[in-house]
Amino acid sequence: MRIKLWHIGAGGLVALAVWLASGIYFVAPDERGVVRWFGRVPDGLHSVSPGLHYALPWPVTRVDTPRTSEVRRVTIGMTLEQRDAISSGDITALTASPASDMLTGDVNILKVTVIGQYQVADPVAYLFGAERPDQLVRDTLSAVLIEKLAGMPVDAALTTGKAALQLEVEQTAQAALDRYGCGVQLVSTTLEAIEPPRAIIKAFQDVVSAKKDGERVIDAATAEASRIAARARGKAAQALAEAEGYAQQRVAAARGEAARFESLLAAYRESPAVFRQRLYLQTMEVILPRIKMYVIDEQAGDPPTRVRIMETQPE
Amino acid sequence: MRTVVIIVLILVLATFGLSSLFIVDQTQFAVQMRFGRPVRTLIEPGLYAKWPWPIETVERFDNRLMLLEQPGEGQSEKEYLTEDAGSGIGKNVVVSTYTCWRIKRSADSVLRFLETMRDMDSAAARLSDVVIAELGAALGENDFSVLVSTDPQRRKWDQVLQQVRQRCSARVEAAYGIEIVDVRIKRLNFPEQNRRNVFDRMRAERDTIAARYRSEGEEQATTIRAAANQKRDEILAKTYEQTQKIRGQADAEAARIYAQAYGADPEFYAFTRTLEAYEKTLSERTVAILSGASEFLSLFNQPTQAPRIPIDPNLPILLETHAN
Repeated sequence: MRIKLWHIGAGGLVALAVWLASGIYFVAPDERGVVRWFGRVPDGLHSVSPGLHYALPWPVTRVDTPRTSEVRRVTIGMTLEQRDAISSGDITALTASPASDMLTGDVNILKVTVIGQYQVADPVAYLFGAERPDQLVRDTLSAVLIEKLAGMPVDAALTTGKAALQLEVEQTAQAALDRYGCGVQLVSTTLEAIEPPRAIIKAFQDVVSAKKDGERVIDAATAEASRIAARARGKAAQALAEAEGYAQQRVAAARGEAARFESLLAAYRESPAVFRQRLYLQTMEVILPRIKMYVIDEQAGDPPTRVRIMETQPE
Repeated sequence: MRTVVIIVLILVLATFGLSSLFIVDQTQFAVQMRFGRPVRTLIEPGLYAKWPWPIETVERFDNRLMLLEQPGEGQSEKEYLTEDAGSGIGKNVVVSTYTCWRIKRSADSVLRFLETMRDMDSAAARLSDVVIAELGAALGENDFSVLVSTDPQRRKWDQVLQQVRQRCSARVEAAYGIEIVDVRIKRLNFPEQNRRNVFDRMRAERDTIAARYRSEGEEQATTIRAAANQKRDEILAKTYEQTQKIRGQADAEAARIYAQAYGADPEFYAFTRTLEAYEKTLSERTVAILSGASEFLSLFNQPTQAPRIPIDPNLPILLETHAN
């Protein structure tokens, strides 16, 4: 078969059609398209929305589709795997860990894990701003973290200062990343773990339990103090009540006795001799039956009687 | 045959045509070279024309922010010496850094870079040496506490690194057309031996703090108890005072009442009170020996009512009482 000119023409047309068709591109929902015509980003094509699009094919156009809604993650310091290995007692992981040491302002060594999450905020800057933007995020976070930690006392870093540290790292790192112009926005910076090295963690735990011991002793003393005070107040109230009772009783008794005496006196005055005799006899009636009584008859002129009284000792 | 010639001709023309066009990408600077000599420096991206190869060629450089990590892959961390004002002995530290740099955005700088560096890798290697040297110098001039300290007055982390950056810039900016955007320390540690000393010191510090917490707790507890006991004594003393006052007042009041009542007839009072006292004090255990002449027995002795019993005067009467 002879090749005729129209064959070539037809072949050329097909090739042209295929070439033109290769300009169709697709931007996924989590991506943004960045189009370059002859190496330059034309106006309006620096952030193409998801969907099916067309641009002139290679070599005129080049399309990149960075994932912009994807939240990327970077771990700073001791990785979670290392942490697991160490807590499960892997000695090699322990000795291999100086790389994740971080110094505090009072020259203590801590093991820290920070997880940074970030997104591509500006696709053009992300693609064209820096050579290795993801590594740059990691390095920046590390640098800011150790810088901030190196100005902090260890106790603050382990307890009250965590939230502030986290916030400060995020803000400072974001400022640096903005200055680098790498189109990245930090979504969150989380202080996943911050703790003393395994080798001396017992000493740190002991401080915590010492603090608790101290508080417990104080609590016990406080409880005892309030018990003592309550008991004293109770005793005082009781003593006062008793005194009041005594006072009332005393006065009432006095009044009663006085009243009785007055009425007796009134009766007595009506006929003193009879009253006197009656009262005397009445009393004797009550007394005499219960006492042991001996009567000694003593007539005038009798010789004196000798009375000897002996008491037997009770058994 | 003719067709084949046409095809070959088209291909040759196309090749020449295409090699006389070139694209400078957004991420690149380019230098157009004629027989190895630069003729045009291209800062802006776009499509440009040139004489076809081999007459003219194009050199391209990355214009993005470059990241130089120190130590790089497979290198060990660099040890530096800091000034130690306290002991006079330098403190060794192990430091990792990163440096952000880029070729400056001007035709002169790109040409300068082309002349002195040729490519990005050799620039990175050169820059790495400069950063190590300047960082070493800066750390050597400064006390360790300039980097690591809880005192914000002493601490000049940022200033030290700014100084390093400026000194590096001074050495590379004009010379190689490189701009240094940032130099930062991303890891700072002690060599293994010093690290153990730090651990020992940390442990000792913690032990001290733990002991302090415990003794402070004991101390406070003792203070609290002592205060409570003192308070209790105070309450009880005050109460005693009050109760005695109340009792005293009551006694006085009672005495007044008695005095008023009994004062009306003291003799009769004495009589009734004596009888009352008899009634109260004389019990089953009381032995009374009464004379027959007593008032109570006055009627007892009347001869008309009871015969007199003679008593032998020689016979003593023995009385025996029993405790019960």
